[in-house]
Amino acid sequence: MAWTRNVLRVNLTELSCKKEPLNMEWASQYLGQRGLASKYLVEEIDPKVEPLSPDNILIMATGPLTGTMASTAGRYSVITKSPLTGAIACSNSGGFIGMEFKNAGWDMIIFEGKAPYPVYLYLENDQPELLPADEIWGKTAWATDEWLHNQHQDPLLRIATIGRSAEKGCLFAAVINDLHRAAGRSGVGTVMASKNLKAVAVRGTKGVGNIKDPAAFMKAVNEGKKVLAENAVTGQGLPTYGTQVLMNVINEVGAMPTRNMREVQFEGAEKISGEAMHEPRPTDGKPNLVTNAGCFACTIACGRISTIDKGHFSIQHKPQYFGASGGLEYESAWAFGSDTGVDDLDALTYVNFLCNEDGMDPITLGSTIAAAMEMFEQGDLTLADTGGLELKFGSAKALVEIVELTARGEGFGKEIGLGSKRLCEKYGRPELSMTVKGQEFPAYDPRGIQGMGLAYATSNRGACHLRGYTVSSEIMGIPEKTDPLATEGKAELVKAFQDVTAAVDSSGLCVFSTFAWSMSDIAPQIAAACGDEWTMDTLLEAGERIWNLERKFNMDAGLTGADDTLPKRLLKEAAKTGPAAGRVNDLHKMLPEYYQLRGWSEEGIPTPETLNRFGI
Amino acid sequence: MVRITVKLFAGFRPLLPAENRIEGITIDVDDYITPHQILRQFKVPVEQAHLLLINGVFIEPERRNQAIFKNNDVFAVWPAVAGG
Repeated sequence: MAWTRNVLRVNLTELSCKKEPLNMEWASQYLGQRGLASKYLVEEIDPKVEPLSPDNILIMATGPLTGTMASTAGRYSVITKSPLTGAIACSNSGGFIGMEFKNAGWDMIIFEGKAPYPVYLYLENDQPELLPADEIWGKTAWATDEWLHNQHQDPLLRIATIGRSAEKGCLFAAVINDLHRAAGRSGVGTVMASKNLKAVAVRGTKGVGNIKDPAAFMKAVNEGKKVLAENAVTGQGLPTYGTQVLMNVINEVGAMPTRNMREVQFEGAEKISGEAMHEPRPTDGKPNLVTNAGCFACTIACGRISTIDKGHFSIQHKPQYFGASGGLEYESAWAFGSDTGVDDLDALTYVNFLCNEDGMDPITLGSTIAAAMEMFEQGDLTLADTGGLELKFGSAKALVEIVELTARGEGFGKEIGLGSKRLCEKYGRPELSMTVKGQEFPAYDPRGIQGMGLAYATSNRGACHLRGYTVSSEIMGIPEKTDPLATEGKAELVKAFQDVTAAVDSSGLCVFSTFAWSMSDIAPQIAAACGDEWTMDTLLEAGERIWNLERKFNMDAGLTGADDTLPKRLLKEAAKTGPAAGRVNDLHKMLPEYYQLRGWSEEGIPTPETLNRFGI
Repeated sequence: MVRITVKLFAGFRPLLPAENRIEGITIDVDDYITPHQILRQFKVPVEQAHLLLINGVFIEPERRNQAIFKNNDVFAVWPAVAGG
């Protein structure tokens, strides 16, 4: 129950759409969204497929709770093989389009092949149409959104689209939905562009039903909402300050990646923090933050809606950016801020707008710019390479210009669009790419938060904080405090976070709910919606199954245990300041135990016994 | 006496004088003073003070009523916060 049990299969090569039943046997093992779509991916493509070839597939998938009244149940994911990493990609987004997919009667949409010309999918309930996109190909995500609403004369259309960066081959292009929510990481938007698929516009009016036990579901959902409301993090902290509240926290604990992770504390952190977003600007007396915003059904509402000072150099002659739009999350603030040494809140807000407008992952983009700045500083990149751009750490002007170029796929921005791994290799400094498996690090230096080093190294989609967020325990003490500088017990902690997150990511719920909810809050909601077989134990088992399935895909794709590592900088160059001064990340102390706990060989390969245990 | 700098963040920030909210306030206190006593001095609700750091290092709850400050310590305090 809870699933619509319908899959829409879109063959772009043949321009055909077909309805097929959801594989319920797989759903009973993989739940939905990330897990279930990964199962479809694994079964349907050769793991060695070239990610940007027509033989790759791209899946937009909801979870069984997506679109229901459960709090945070607005999530959907985009699953494919990543062109950035060559590993499995699964990028999760909120907003409203996941709910709309369910209201239109679909659990997931599978896109195969490549359209002979640019198209978009217009989906009104069970009537899919592939329509020419020649008038929107080449437009930004925002312009595409506007055009589609006008074209179909329907203000309630929900739209997921790529911007210009994806069309220009940027390898970390995002799929933007609802103007400023994003399936952001690993280049899922690039795969969409490679299929000549510009957008998906969906309208659903069927309602979301199929709840197995509606009374029990309402009870469980209401109890869950009460927990979120009464929790200080989800009831107060996140709505008021958003994820940006972490800027000062992480800086104080000495885990703020700064200037391409050379340093672990940023002197300008306060100026770009969540607190600073509340402060009135000296110029116009208005704060950066206009209001918070929530995704569908969310009772946390951590989203930021911001404005830029109209007199700021970045937009003073661009009135199209004078209005309020999606503001800085901690990840974008860090990547464009401390990692490039820029402490100009307006500039960071502007480049964040551009990431939404043209669909780019701000983490990879900011980190790649930081790597380029370090190469420029050291003479590996010259003005001739950058087209005259002075790519200096701390230069807000350079940051703004290079992000504009990358969004349009022009000049040196085209090279930034390759990501830092390829860029640094090209200019002879591969060690300056701060990546795992080709994907850039998020906002936590693993020298100061040891468990995150293991979480990054073993993440199935390359460096990522959302695959196992041990920061929650190591820094914030949720669910219980562990020492961020200790390695003991971290293998078990990382595995536990990874498995729980895989289950939550497969449900339709937001992982931020787990700052307040434990599995004992989540399981009753899923059980009431989907069936009593979904308990805390079976959910955790599903999470572990999903993790192993993703791992097996990566191994079959050609990755090995040797890819479970960190850049030399984090393993050899000690942190200079803060509580972690003198420390590197001691990955070698955690990784063997992690493999053992996972039931993998010493080389990091899932053993036949482990795979059998999960029916893989 | 010890000289310490007190920084309050997130919802606690308005409890500091306006001119001290960014850099924190530096004060001289008796060397037997405890973190919880400092919180009370600034009217921070002790039960809501979740994340307490001295020089970036977490102060376990059992140490918050002990005299643990040294000269030039930076004492930073947040309510329960999280992000991603």
